[in-house]
Amino acid sequence: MLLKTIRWLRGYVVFSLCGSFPERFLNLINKRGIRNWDFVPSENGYVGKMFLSDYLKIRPTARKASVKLRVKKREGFPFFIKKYKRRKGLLFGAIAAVLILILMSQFVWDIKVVGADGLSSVELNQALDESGFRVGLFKSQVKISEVERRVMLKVPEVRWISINMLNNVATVEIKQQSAPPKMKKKTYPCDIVASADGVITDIIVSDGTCEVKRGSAIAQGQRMVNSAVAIGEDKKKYVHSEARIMADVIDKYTLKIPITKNKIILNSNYTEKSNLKFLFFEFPFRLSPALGGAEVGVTLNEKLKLNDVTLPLGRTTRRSYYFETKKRKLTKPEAEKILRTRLLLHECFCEGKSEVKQRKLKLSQTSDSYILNADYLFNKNIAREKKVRKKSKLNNSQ
Amino acid sequence: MKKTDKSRKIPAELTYNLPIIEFTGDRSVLVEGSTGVLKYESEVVRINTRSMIIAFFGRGLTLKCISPTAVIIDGYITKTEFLR
Repeated sequence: MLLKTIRWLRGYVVFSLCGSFPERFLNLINKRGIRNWDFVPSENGYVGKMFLSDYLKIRPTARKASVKLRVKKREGFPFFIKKYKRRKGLLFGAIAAVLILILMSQFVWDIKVVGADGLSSVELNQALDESGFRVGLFKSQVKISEVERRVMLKVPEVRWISINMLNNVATVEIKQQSAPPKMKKKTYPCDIVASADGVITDIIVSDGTCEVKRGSAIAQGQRMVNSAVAIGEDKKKYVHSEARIMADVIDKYTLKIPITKNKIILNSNYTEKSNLKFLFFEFPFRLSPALGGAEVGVTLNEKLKLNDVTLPLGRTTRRSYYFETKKRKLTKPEAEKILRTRLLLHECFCEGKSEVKQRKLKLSQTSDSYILNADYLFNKNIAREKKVRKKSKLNNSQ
Repeated sequence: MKKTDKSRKIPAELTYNLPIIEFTGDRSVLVEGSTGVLKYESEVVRINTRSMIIAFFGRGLTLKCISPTAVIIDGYITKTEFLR
């Protein structure tokens, strides 16, 4: 293969030979150190191959050996060049392609972030950008260790970062910081008081002296667990009380929505502005005039991929949709549906740890709004810490 | 002279200018110490050496490689002759 390539690059001719003393010719060119190969007898003499440069030298030798030479075929790079000599555009195109290829391989084409599942990709990309690492950068200009250090300083959640350059794609590997568990400060003595009025259904006290019983009614702010614990006949210590006291609590919640509602209706009209992105350059190539009015925009980034390789060519499209706002009256079932949904959300997010024992709903209508009154019977933990101010130190014996 | 050569153990091909011939079955032959090609046809190839002429007979004989001191012949070799 290598030999064939060298022969092709140097250029060779396939020649035929006929005459009285072909063997003499063969011996003479061998003595002169001229190489030939595939020299085989044929119908009218011999056929062989020889380098172009050698063929130009053997005319006197052929005359001396009384043989006639005739070129049958020309092959190789010198003949290829000669063939396309007039088509200079092809040559310039090939040179330009090679130059572009060399130039483009010097840039960062794409940045991939791996292992940052719990982190905001926008924040990370911004941190990389501010640290001087972005698409379109010269690979030789990138100071990887400095970028890594800067990103770690900018994003404290990043525990470890490594930037690997593979061809034109930079892979940013990230390991996240695992947050330490929040420790409750239990150094101060405190009582447990009721956060709401109710009837106690269950008591679990882990520290402190319990002062209430199951089934007893309790008022808001009333002490249920005392921080003072007796440790002798006349001695007591103050502890950080801990308890879980479940009670049936009556609660009310009111929701209100206006009768008239603004409804957003999207028009079928939209405008698009597209930019062609090459590395970090952007060129507008599609513009449409703004129609006026209220609009909502969507930006779409598209990158050109070839065999899973992201090319530094892409398109950024911003599409603006126009909308109108129309006022309309809500019917009672519609209003009830909306209010019930909001109520469920309230139960989930505000009373998530409580059990709903009873729920009574009443929908009423005024001149301008719908009102939903909800009467609840919750079973929930009403224990609330209250700091004992006089005794500041824990385990302070009296 | 012969005694001296034997005692010194000089190879005979160097002392008497003998060619070295290496056959690969009947398909190929390498002749080292050639001084030229005397006849080249597909049925017969005669190679001149310093001490003799070697003729190879066969079918489809071709010179695969020729250099000033060596020749490689390919083809079906049926007979070899040494002429002094």
